[in-house]
Amino acid sequence: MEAITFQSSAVVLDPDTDLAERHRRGDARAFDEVYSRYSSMVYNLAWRMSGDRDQAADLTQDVFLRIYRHLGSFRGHSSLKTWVYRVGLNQCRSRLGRKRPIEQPLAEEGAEGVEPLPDTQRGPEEIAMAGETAERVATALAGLHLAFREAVVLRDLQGMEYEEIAVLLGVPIGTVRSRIARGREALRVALEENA
Amino acid sequence: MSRHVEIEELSALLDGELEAPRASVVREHLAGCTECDQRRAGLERSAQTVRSLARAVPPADILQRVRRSTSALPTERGLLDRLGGWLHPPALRPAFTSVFALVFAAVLAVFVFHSYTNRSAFGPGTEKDDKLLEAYVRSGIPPGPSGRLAENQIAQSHDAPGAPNNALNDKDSAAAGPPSSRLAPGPALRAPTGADSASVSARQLQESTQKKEIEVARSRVDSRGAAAAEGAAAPAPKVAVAQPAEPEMAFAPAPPPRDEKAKNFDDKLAVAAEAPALMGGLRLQAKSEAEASPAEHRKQMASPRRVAGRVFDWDGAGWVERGIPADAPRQQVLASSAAGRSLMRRVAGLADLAGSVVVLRDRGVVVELRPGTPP
Repeated sequence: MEAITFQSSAVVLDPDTDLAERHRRGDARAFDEVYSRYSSMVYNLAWRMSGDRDQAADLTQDVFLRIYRHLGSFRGHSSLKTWVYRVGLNQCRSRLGRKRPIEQPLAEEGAEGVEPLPDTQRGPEEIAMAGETAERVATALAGLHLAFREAVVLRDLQGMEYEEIAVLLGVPIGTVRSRIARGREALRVALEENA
Repeated sequence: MSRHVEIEELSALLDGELEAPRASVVREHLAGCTECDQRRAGLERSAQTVRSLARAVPPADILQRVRRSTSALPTERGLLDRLGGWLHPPALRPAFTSVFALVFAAVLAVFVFHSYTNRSAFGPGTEKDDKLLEAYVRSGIPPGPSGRLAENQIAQSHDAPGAPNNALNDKDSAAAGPPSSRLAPGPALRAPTGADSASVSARQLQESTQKKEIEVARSRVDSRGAAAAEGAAAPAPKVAVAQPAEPEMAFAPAPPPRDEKAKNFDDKLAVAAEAPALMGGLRLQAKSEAEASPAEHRKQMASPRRVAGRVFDWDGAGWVERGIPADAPRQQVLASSAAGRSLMRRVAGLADLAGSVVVLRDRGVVVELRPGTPP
């Protein structure tokens, strides 16, 4: 007697594409989830890229408007995080390419309306040092060439790996390495000049 | 290791992005090189200061602003879904198909009508007229400043002794130096041969099918009529500028058709030259303006003509555009651009056009070229 075997197959959706699919279906909570996941990342990226808190807020709003419109077309070719980063960087490039960020008023750490995130990775000494030098660093950072600034912010502020940055920017990993090194060097020179 | 370490390697070493063998070499170098070690320390300080920058929570109102903006904003996919939903119901598919078919038919009808009216200047459309239409070759004459279009100018070119052959070939002419030197009276136009026609490639045809139109129609002009039209039966080629609605030319029995098939630009021009033969003896009834009424023709010649916003005066030998000196060089007239030069070469290269009228149409301006006189 011939045996008949049933095999069950389960379709496992990637969490990122699942979010996109839910958004396509009109589930408002999907976008809220995306916002809660990445808003801080986008805002801090925009803040350090623009050097201005108000501009960072506007940029963040624009970025999430674009995400809202295009999330439905996300197909999971990259991670949702990379995709969001790309949208954010494109928005920054578009905005900052027209207006030099160095001319923008620089934000002060701990200013009104900005609630610092709790830092669980650094000790009190590092945090204190950050408070003292933050404005100087932000000024020097905002003065870097856009390509160097992107690389340094993504590596040192966002903690991304070289390979991730290369994928995100669409450049070879050697270019990433060079940009990070030259950005750090330019930053060192700027900080020493302003010391 | 005597050379200093590149800054990229120092930076990558800090991030652990340097390959292990190379990293050990660099570390060994740093142990003995104060300069490189100081540079490494500087890079490390830079990275550390950036890492020390505080992170912040975005303002709470951003999400509200985004929500307000997106409340009336369809998502990309949502919009497509709406369209898809409209198209998907089977009941609506026939309606959509019908509307699409109607629109397509209307566009096609306009296109066909436009094509038909464009060729109507040659008389009633017949099946054989399609052969003539097939022979329409798109090419160009310079839209820029026009000047003297006088028969003696063309004649000068034809009569020039020792005219080189290279002006009939685009490739050759492209390497022949500046236009003015190549188009000095003489070399550009000469007694053409069939071999010359074959030398123009099909590529030239494709290049020339962009903007303007040459209508080549063989019209063996009666020598008496031509003489009446031009005041004298000159053996040299003649050029005239006329309104677009020029009287139709009479087609006479043509020479026997050529054996070869029309495969490229020159062959198509040859087909155009053989149009009367292809029309199988069909004679168009219209006669040339000059043949019908020489006096009226001369009267019209006496008054300036406005063509496409440009005013031309007849000076007894040819049309001269006002504002351009009568002795303007021929290059300024037809050879001021590559398209114009190419056009003239092609016209000159038509062996069978002696005694024919070549009509060049460009943005409403019609230029008639008569490369030769009837045998």
